[in-house]
Amino acid sequence: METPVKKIGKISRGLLWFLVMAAVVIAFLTAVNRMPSVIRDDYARKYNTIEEVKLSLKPDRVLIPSYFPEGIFWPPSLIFAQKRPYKAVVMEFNGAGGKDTVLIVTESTLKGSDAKLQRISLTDVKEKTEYNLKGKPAILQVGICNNGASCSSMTWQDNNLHFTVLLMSSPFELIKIAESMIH
Amino acid sequence: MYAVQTVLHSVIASVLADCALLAWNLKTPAVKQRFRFLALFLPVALFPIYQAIFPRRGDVYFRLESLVDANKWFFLDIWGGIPLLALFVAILILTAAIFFVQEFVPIVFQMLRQARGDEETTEQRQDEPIERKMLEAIEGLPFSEDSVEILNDEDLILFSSTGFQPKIYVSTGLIESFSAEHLKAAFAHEIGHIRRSRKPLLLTAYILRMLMFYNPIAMIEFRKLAQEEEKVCDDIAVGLTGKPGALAEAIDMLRPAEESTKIRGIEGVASGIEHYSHELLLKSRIHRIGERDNDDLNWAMPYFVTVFFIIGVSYFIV
Repeated sequence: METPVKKIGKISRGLLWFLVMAAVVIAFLTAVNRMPSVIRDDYARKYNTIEEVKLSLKPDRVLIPSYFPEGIFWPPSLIFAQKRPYKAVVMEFNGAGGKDTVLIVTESTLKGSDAKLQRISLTDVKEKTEYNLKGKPAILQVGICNNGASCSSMTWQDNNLHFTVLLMSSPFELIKIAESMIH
Repeated sequence: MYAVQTVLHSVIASVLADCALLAWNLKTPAVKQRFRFLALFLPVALFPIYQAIFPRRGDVYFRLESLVDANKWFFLDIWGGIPLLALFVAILILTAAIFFVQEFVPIVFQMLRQARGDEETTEQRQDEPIERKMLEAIEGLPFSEDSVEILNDEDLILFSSTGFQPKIYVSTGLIESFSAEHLKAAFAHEIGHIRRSRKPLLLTAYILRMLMFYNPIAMIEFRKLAQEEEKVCDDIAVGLTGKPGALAEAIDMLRPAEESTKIRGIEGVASGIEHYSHELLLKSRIHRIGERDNDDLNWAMPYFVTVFFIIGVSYFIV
């Protein structure tokens, strides 16, 4: 009959082997996850600059704001883009202090995809109105976002692209940002 | 999305369960069953639990940081424009078809056969030596001879029905072919099945298997689980008779003859594969009976470690 010490030794050895095997499995999964990106580079991934996005995915166009309220600066703190399963470019900007996202600009070929593409969304709409954005019909909404902050959003369509700008601030600044994207 | 994730989570659960069985060298069939059960149970439950706790799991941000994003593979084009997703869906449909043809329909036939078996037993038992041999075999086993039904059939038939009035069905052909000792071992194996039917593991596993009728991993794991069940019942049989050799010989005698499996065409290939798989199981059982070895390890800790890893890794697979 085995002593308790020997039994604990068996369990410990087994645990070690299991951890090694689990690590191999995880490493394999990581490699499997990267393989499609080697074959094609148009899946959703992070980019360092908008120029990289333009070079890699060659999107039809990427509209960039030229106006930023005080405390928000170019370049974006996060850029991710994809061509599959639909084209999309998302830019996030942090506010003063550099921690929290205060501005999100998305463009995609799939209508309504902003809910999936934005980590912050306007969930409690207090006001909703139509707005003429330099000749383009847009929807302006004001309310509370899912992070509890007051926010406003503007959505419009230009040809086959759907744009959404979400700002943790008043709609007046939001309108200026949106208008700066259209030339 | 649920179907995709259950399949992916099944793969992870199956692989990690096998890793655990290997790492801790777990051999007892009942213990192996518990690990294999994870690959049936966890995939069904995990996705709704994950989504309830973290609703944004599966959005783009989560996928960017995930361990595996299945969409990356599914939207790869193969054969000029057809996405890999189409192949995946085809596999699920094929698995569903196999389930209905190979499992669901035979169960219906089995139920009909058992009903026919009831009708056959209304015949008078005429052959006294057969009945005497049956009584000799059942003696000493915890089972009433009144619950043993003899079927007038030359083939080697032995099966049991469970429920409130369990019965063992045995053919005259088998009684004539087996010695009393072999028959006792065979009966003891069936008593094992009847006893095990009172525990819900296999029934629960089959319900989960039916819920994931499209999942090829669930199909494979359930079959492995059923194979382990045979070995558990072998252990029960040896425990009841104390004669492992008799059981091994009885199993060996139940191996089907080669000639009976020569069918041509696709049916022949499928039949051949099924025959080969059955052969492997029977050989493995015979070999195992000869070298029965129970784990001397407390499997609780390995089990919980495995569950923890399955839950943790599966969370990051979308």
